[in-house]
Amino acid sequence: MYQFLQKYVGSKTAGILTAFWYLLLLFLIFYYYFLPSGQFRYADW
Amino acid sequence: MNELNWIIAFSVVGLTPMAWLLPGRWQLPTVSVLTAGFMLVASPLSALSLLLTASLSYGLFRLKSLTPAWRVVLSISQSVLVWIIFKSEWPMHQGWQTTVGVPLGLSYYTFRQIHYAIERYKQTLPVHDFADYLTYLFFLPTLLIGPINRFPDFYRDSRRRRWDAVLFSTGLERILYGYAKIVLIGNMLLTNKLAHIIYTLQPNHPSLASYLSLIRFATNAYIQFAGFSDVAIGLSLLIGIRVPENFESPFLASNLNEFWKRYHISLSSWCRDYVFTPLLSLTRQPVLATLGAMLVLGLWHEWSSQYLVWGALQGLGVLIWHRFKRPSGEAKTAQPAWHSNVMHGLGVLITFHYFCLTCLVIQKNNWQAVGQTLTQLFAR
Repeated sequence: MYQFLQKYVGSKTAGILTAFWYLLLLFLIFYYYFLPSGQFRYADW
Repeated sequence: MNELNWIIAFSVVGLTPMAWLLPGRWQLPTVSVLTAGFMLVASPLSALSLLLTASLSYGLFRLKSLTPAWRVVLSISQSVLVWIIFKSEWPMHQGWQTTVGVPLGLSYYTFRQIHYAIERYKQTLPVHDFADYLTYLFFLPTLLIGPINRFPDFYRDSRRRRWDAVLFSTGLERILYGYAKIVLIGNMLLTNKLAHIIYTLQPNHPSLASYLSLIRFATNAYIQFAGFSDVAIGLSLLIGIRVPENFESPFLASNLNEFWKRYHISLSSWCRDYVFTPLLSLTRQPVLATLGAMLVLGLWHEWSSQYLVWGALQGLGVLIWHRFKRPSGEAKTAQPAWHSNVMHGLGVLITFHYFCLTCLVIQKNNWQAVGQTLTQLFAR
């Protein structure tokens, strides 16, 4: 992600955007994984 | 926590520090010992089964009284026998597997052992000892969730590995993306949200609901599996081992032949090298070799009639494509760019829908349910 962004914006901006991207993904994963009902926890296939 | 979470947690907290902080020659052997310990705790049957088949597959090649041909035959036979015993339909119906259980990662390590036996027979493997072989098999990141990596690649990486911060951060990124695929796209969007939409559509639009259900099953299987592979590749990178890619956007393939070069690459390339090529050399019958390879590919998932038919349908799709494709030597007629783009797009759509439709036979529990869904799908 960082290498991709670095092509279009500076190193510093790319670093900040990458960090936000990772944090967003982490938040979404934890949010959906640790819902109290646990409804998204396990794959069903 | 489910198995995947335990594997990630144990690999990151337990294996990765050992793989870098211990003295060089102890690093990977310690990873293997910890993997064996992890398996003993999680499933003693899995640890014993892997240790037994690994010892036999290596030990048989040490027996001077056997000819090389007998060594490879016996080595493959014992691995396949264990695989069939635990994966076949028959004991499952007897309730045997529910009481004893199925060794974790059995299909993966059986095919690794067969690859090892054949390559050892062909004398293409680098000089190694039993500890190297065990290190290859008892490698937690790929042991339970694939891909079916090859011994020479693993051995080379295990010898050349050096600390690399970029590789380490790439590994962390792959784990995050893999987990996002599993939890966000697979579990949340496809398993929950889309399933809810299908449920609400079912009473008034049964055909559309069946169609969406078909698409959901195939795409969910792909997303989940690609996520698992990402996690395995990422965890391996944390330890400094590069594992081959297992998926390369397969749903963008414009024919089934190309699809199987991009979907579960480690398994399809295994079937190409160890089933298709030998069968073609022996029989000179491409149709037979293709069908044989695809049947093995199907049965790898489960030794059952449904996966046998699924494999046959994949083989049939590849054969149909070979029958109607443009001969490679034939000059292309001048066609406008839009024409080839449209044809490519059509190919992508047909390949995707053919694959989804074939997945119906493994989605449903019995043939009657398959027939019912097909009727519902094409009902006016």
